[in-house]
Amino acid sequence: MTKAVPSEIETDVLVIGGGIAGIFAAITAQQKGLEVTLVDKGSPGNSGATPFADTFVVFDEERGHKRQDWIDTVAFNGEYLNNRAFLDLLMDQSKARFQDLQDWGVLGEVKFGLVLRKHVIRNKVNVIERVMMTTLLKKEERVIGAAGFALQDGQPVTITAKATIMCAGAGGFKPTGFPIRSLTHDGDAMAYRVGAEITGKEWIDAHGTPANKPAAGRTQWNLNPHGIFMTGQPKHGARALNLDKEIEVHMGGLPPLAGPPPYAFGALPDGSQVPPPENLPKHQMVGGSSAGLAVHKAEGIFPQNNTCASNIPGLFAAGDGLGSMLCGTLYAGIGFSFSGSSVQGAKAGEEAADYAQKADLVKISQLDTAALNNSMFEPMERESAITAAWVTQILQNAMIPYYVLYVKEQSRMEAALTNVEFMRDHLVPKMIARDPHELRLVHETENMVLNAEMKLRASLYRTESRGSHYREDFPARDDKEWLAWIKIKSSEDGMELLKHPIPESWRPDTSVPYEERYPARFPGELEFRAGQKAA
Amino acid sequence: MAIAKIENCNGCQMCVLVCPTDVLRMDEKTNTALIAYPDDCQICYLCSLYCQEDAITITPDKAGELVLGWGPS
Repeated sequence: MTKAVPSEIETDVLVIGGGIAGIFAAITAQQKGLEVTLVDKGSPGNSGATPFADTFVVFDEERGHKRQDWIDTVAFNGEYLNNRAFLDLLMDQSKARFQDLQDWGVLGEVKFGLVLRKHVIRNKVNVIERVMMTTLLKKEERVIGAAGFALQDGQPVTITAKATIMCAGAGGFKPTGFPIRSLTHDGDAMAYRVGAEITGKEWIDAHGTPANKPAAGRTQWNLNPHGIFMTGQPKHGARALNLDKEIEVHMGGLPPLAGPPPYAFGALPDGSQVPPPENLPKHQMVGGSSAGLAVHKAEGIFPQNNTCASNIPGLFAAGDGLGSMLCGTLYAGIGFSFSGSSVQGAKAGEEAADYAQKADLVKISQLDTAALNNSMFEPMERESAITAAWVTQILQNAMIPYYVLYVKEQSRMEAALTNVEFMRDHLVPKMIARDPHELRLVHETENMVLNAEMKLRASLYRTESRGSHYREDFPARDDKEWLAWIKIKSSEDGMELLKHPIPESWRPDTSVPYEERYPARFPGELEFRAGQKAA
Repeated sequence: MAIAKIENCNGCQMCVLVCPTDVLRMDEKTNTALIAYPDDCQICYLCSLYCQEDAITITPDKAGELVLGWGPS
């Protein structure tokens, strides 16, 4: 089943990552008549966050959904920084993509990852499994493919492509309890290194995990016995996955108890209601289980428009690795992530196929390939005692505590940044790998350290609180300065941070009094505002 | 200790393919799956869900040792 991989591949469209975004991207591009290669660190359908998905939100006017309601609700919940173009895309396409999953036989199947894998192979996509991509190839300001190595035997793999779609997901600091330890922001890191704009790093995903078995969040959730099912609609004021747990702990209390969700969970294909998960009594949750992750769809490659294109020609992105800001600063509700990734994957596949039809294949010279391989395999040649496991552990110790990236404050973040800069400059260049598995860990750790730096710099830059970004030293929303996204770009002086204002027509109505515009309170917020007024 | 043992493996390699964190490899001599990198197990249960023989035992406790020193283990 695990077969040898050719070391040089030429293709029209390269898709990196085989979660649901990558699968839709690959199949859509293939159906437009192009040759498509999909490469994954693991195997498509079983990769990234996809095998743990259960809900898919469908916008359907026939079920009484109203477009304006959804627009208003998601903007309110996302505190106005959601990207309405991507919500439009979801409202336009989610029903058709859900129908695709039904047609492919995915629904009602617990092992749906295997169904997806079979489907992508049956559709004549060239699937390359257990190969980690480390580097995007760039020539004449254009992305022309990617390079990496096979996990089984460490063989180098170079793929040249007319268009590349990054679907490698988001990631975290290999936290415990939430199954994202294969996700280390590899896509963001590869794209950043070739000059792509990255966004959304200050937003925080606050998934918890059961206090009695913190490393095994999946035992409590169970593997969903229904497979993928459809969910209803966003709820006004839902504030999903907010910072309640972390703020409560910071104030000296206990995180609130969690139990079965109080709302109807969703509908099965036959229209019957899905019961809430069984065996889920009220239990104590603790935080940090998804540390390093931003709100779904908030972080990643900054889209230049709703076509999933990056600022680098030839590079597209979709899913959790595209900073589409579908939901904004807080998650809009269950089902948005899987549905969002599906519609964006299909869109990126279509756009990349159009681009590839007009583009030529640029070959990479043997000399360039040799240089690339030298740098990729350097950790296997190093004389050092620094292991990726150790660097990962100290990165976790620096970044996961609630008082660094959940309840934020300037001096604490600056202290963490000093620590992370040391890792970047003195530990990352010395990490060793003794086999291809460790080589993977080295590259993953380097990407996690980069993500940590981005998260700290973006969080320091945003001098306000909003949604899932809470700063004790700036505990109020600042609509004058911060109705804007942050873009991070590589420059000669290191990381460059830029403000990108949201379109004028998406701004909230400032004639509505502040406390009504933003009914959710941060600790210290009203006192801070009163102090500002007095000054 | 997360993924704990594999018994009565039929050698189908499915677990090697679906493990998101590359914990499992094949033992070429016995043609059975082997827990090669237990520290990287994320207790996600995918391997046991997909195992046709129900051969894999997973416990909910965290795997991995604290890496105290900065030398290779």
